[in-house]
Amino acid sequence: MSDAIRASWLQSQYVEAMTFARHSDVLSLAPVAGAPPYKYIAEFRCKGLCATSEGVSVIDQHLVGILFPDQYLRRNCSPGQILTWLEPDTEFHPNISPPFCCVGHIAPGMSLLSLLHQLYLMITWQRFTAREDDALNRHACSWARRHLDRFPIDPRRSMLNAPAAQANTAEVANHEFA
Amino acid sequence: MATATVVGLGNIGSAITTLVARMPGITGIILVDPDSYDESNLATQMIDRSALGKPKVEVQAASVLAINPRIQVETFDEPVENVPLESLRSSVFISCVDSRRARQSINRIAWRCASPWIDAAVDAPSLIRINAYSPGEKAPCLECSWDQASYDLLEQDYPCDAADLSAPATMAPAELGLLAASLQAAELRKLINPAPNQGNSLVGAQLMLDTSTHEQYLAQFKYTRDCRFDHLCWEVETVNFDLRSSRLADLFDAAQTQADPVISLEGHVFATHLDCIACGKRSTAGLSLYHRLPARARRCPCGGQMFAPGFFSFETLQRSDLSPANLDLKLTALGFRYGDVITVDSASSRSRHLGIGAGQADE
Repeated sequence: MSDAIRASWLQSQYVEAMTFARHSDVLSLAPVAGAPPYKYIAEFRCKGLCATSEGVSVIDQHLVGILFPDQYLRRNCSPGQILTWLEPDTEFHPNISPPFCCVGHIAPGMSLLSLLHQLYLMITWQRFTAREDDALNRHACSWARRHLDRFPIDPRRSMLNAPAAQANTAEVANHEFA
Repeated sequence: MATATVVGLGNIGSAITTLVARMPGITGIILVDPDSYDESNLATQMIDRSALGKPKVEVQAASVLAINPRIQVETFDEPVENVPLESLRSSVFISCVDSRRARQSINRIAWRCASPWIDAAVDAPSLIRINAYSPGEKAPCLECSWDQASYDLLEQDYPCDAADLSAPATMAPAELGLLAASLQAAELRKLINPAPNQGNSLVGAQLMLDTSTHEQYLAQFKYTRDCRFDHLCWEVETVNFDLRSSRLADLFDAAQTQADPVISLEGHVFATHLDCIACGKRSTAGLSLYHRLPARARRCPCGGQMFAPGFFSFETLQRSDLSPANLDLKLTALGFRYGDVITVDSASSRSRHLGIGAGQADE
């Protein structure tokens, strides 16, 4: 991977996703390594489910680690290499078995914003696999089939606050990395 | 005197090995394929019943030596991505693989070694395609002609299912594989023994042949400035180590740089712990190259696959980040092998590539 191409791509992802996160009441995004960043912690403040001793309960905070490997624009990296489920470790979802989560096919170069959106749809049960042979958590999968009336857990289709789609990207775009 | 590395020993690869063995000027051949022959291969590959159940590299090595006992043969029954770069180095790479992912790896390896490569593919019932590339900073590579849709088609392994990355068998007729192998061999001959009467090399171009209509097409490749591959050929400096006694700190010392060096092994990640996809069990095996761990270490006692979560894996190691205990780890314990090429980066100098004890036999 050309360093210049990768750096330019990472910079554009940073600008786009940070701008989005600033106008979202659901998402917080923290770069944790690289300049421009290649590693983030995403915090989702939306309703999802976790397993408890009594069964299943609703929770509203979820942390996911996102890493763009060096060859992310060229290679089909495993979702397990890109996404790491951090908290809670009791998250209850057919596609999640901490530290692993599976949002399906991640094409080389899929944008950070697309990944965040896929994660949001998954956490809120707007998207899940109903096939046990395809599930990371088979128990959650069979549970889901018995409780289809409960989904989505969080019905908001978008992570954005009202009219923030017109967000001004300038302040983030002008950020210079050393 | 030339050597050839053949990757993939199926429909095309099982035919080309014996052609290479017969070629004047070839003194060595390196064979790479992780699979064994099975019953379904009899109809489409150049083997007989005695090959069934045996590793492909073993069968083809025997065929080569039966034709030319003076040829030096090395075999690797593992994915090409896992074989140390210097162990693959040869005059020409011959690609007979059936997946985009493997082809992409061979493109990278050939460029790093600055050796030309010839790619062949068949598409049943009648299509044959031969491409040839010669590495250079501005030379067209496999990925120069790829768009996003091409990258989207790359095979991916998912943690949520039992990943089988092997591409489905092409089931192309044997004669198609044999014809592709013959065309590939003809190009190999031009590359290792260029002579005016041998005609033009296919380097930088693609030949497509349709045996159903007898039509052929020749297309030229073009270098793309925005290609996602870096097109770098590496100058490898050999550093001799005894892998069993040398420590990670010795590798950093060999970098001989004032600044805090960062090392990496292209295509590999270092893991500190593994998690079972099925039962969630965590194994803290210590710092190691994930893909070099033995199969048993990547298999949980429950039967599930152990993966290294990306967020807790490292593509690079920086000396200042490592504990004394990690710096004291033996290179074999980390998974390094003879022939690996370590890239050393530091703030004060350009990248260097150190080959570990190239020329020594792997243990």
